[in-house]
Amino acid sequence: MSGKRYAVGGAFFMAILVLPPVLRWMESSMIGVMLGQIPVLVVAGWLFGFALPRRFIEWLNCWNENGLPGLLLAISVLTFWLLPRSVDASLNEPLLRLAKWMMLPLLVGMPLSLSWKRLHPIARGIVHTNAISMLVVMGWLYLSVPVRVCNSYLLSQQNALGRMMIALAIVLAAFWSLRLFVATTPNEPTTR
Amino acid sequence: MRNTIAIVLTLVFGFGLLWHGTDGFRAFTSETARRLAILQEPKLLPAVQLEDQNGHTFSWQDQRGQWVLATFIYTRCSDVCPVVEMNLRRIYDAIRQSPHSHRLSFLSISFDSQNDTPEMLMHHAHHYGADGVTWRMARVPNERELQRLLNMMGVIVIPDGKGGYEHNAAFYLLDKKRRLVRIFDYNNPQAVIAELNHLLAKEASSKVVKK
Amino acid sequence: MEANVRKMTALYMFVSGIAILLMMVLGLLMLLAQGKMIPLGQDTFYEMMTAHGTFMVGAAAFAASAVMWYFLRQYVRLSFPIFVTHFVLFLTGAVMTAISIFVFRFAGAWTFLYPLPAMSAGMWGKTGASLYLIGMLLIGVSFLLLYLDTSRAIIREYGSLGHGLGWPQILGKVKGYGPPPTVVASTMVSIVNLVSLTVGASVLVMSLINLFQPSIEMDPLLAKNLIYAFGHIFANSVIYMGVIVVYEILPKYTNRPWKSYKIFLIAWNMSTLFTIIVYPHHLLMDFVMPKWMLIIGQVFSYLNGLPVLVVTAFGALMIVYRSGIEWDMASSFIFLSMFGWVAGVIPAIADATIVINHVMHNTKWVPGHFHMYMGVGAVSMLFGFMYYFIRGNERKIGYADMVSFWVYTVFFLSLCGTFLLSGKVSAPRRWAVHFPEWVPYDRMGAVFAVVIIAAVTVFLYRFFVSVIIVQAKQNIEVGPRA
Repeated sequence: MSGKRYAVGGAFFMAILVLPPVLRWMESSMIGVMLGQIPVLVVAGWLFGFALPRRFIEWLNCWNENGLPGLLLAISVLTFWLLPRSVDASLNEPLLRLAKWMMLPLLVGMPLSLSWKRLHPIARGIVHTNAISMLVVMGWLYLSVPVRVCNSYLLSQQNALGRMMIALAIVLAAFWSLRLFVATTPNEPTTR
Repeated sequence: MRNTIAIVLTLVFGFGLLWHGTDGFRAFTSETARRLAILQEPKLLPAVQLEDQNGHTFSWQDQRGQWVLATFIYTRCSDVCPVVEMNLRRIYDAIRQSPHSHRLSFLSISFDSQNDTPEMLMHHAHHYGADGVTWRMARVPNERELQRLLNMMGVIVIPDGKGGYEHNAAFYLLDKKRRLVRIFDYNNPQAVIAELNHLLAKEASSKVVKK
Repeated sequence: MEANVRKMTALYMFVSGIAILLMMVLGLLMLLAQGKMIPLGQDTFYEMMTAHGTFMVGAAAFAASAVMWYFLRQYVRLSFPIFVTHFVLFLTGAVMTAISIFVFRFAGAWTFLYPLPAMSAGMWGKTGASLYLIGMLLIGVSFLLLYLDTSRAIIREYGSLGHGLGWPQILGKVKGYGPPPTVVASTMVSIVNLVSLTVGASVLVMSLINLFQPSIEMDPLLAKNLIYAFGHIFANSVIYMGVIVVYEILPKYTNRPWKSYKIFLIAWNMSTLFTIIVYPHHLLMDFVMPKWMLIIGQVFSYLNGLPVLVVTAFGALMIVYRSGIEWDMASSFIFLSMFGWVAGVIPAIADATIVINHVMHNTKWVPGHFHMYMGVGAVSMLFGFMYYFIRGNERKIGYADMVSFWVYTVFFLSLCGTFLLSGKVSAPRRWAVHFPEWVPYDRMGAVFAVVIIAAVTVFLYRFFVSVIIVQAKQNIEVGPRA
């Protein structure tokens, strides 16, 4: 019942992205593509993950017991679509654009939503800390690479993206560490 | 067990995907991908009419017998072009000292045909100490020909809205059969000099063998 | 399970003990070379210096992390597989680092200051530099795993890291004492090292990218900031892990509990914050640094270690006073460590003062400080733990050990003295070749080092033999493979 609602939500997100003005607006800037379009596609896939039939999820779980296969799949596909070369290609070649729009929800978002809860807390911690340092490294790369990495975008946009990524890394780091300090209910009283 | 199999499979898949997507971890940007493709398979240049700083028109055919090291600039450019031209001058000076000086000529092509008249190009040539014979400044008067040339070379020019242009810079090596054979980084003249000396020496020696 | 934990912990201590001993030998060789007593090529000197710095901090942190893990698991549920993974990953990284230094001749010092790894002027190649950086990255990942696990376990047990640091007690929301001192210290170390390792991973990856793509550069000042933020916090955390030994052992010896009263908790909270923000005191000589950062570096350096140091030293004295404590090897080492910590901080405070720093920072004064701090402070905690660990067979621990203890104490302090005096006569640090007027101190140092190495050999021999005996005894009692 609620599964359907999630599917509708995911489809809604994707539909908004396809609207020509939104599409043009997002693809006119590098920030729009890298920090707008790609994440929203992944989120749409995440929502689709909740709408899968129970049987199918159970079958998948046999193959994805500790969540690592799903996580690895998501990371490698996401990395592929973050390559500057793929970003260029997805803008200029219709076939690759289609591939991106299929793969990001189905092979990144969906495996993530199916695997996240199954992952060991430490694996999740590694994803968190790694996301922060890799965002910083990517932001630094976009700031310091002397040439344009995407032929479709200006150098100034690339630099703006770099600054945005570092800012995002700082916000994420602050948010996650704040969450570590905010109390959840402990197992037992604090002194024992 | 099945979990482990799945991990191995995803690792293989992910590695394959990235391997394929980067031509074996060599090309992460479309720029390097294109350089790699050209290295493996040189591309034939389209025929264009060029006009040099003296107002003479010429085409690739007139360069017969010589290799050409070309670059793309516009004379009002104040950020990257001066660096490109200074580095081209370093290469120009180094090659003139070498025994291969007669095998290579230099060409700076402006993509701003509106503003870069022969007079502007002449001024530009003086500024960088180009002799106007082995190193010429040129523009492509025909807009359609210019676009075709830029597309083929992979030069992307975007107006920056302030009267200038954002463009990618590199050195392009054309061989005697008017094919694009190499694309070099513009900010490492020493490497370009070394590679040019190597290529030109190889060509010279192969000629000797043929004789 | 309990036997496995003991075995693993013993393995940790033994491996790091051996590493520390070997690095002491390298230290001796370097002193001999500076004292012109053996001919040692300059390249070899800098390789040894790189190894000495990397592995002394690495091994001490490695052993200290085992100590922390060993005691922390009394209070929270830690994962044994992670403890093993940490061991394996660390050793893999350490082996790679060692290969990079001794096979591929990397000699860029542990600080791998950008852009040195990429610009060796022909001393080492890309392979050496990248192997070193990747090795460091692996070591970083191994520690990251461990601290993620400790944070997770602490949050699970106490609700949040804030609770682990005793915030409810400090704010008066909860009456009574805070979490046990071990938990407070472990929380602090987990926090500061998660910060340091995330920063370190970023700068290591950046350096690696620069190595293979020289056209992609970074701001050298930013790189230096990141490296010292990582290096300072990480090296500093050794003492905060080691101090857990004090909190655990003294109460057992005196039968008096060590409670987390309010001042104690506040002190640890202050040190948590200060440890993260004081690293600019390594950059006091970089005049391009923003002035406010340097002032933070100076002011908070004074305050950095002090809160925890004072509550711990004072607490230790209180708990021991008129307790009729038995002075065996473990308790003696713990007292030595408290002394080393206090004494080692004094030259550091002098050096953290900007005016003094400008004349002292590049002399052997600073090695004088950190040898006292690490050698007499942190490493004594580790040896103390080793003796505590094997205290089942007291009859084996005899004269030789006690004599070695005093020898170690006296000669290590003398060694630190020669470093400080070298600093006084302006002997620069990190120089392979010394002027004649600096040589006498190097020679004295070398002699002291020989004696120290002998003493440490006794400690390690005792530990090794006792662990084997205990192990054998257990096997007889339980029967093999039971």
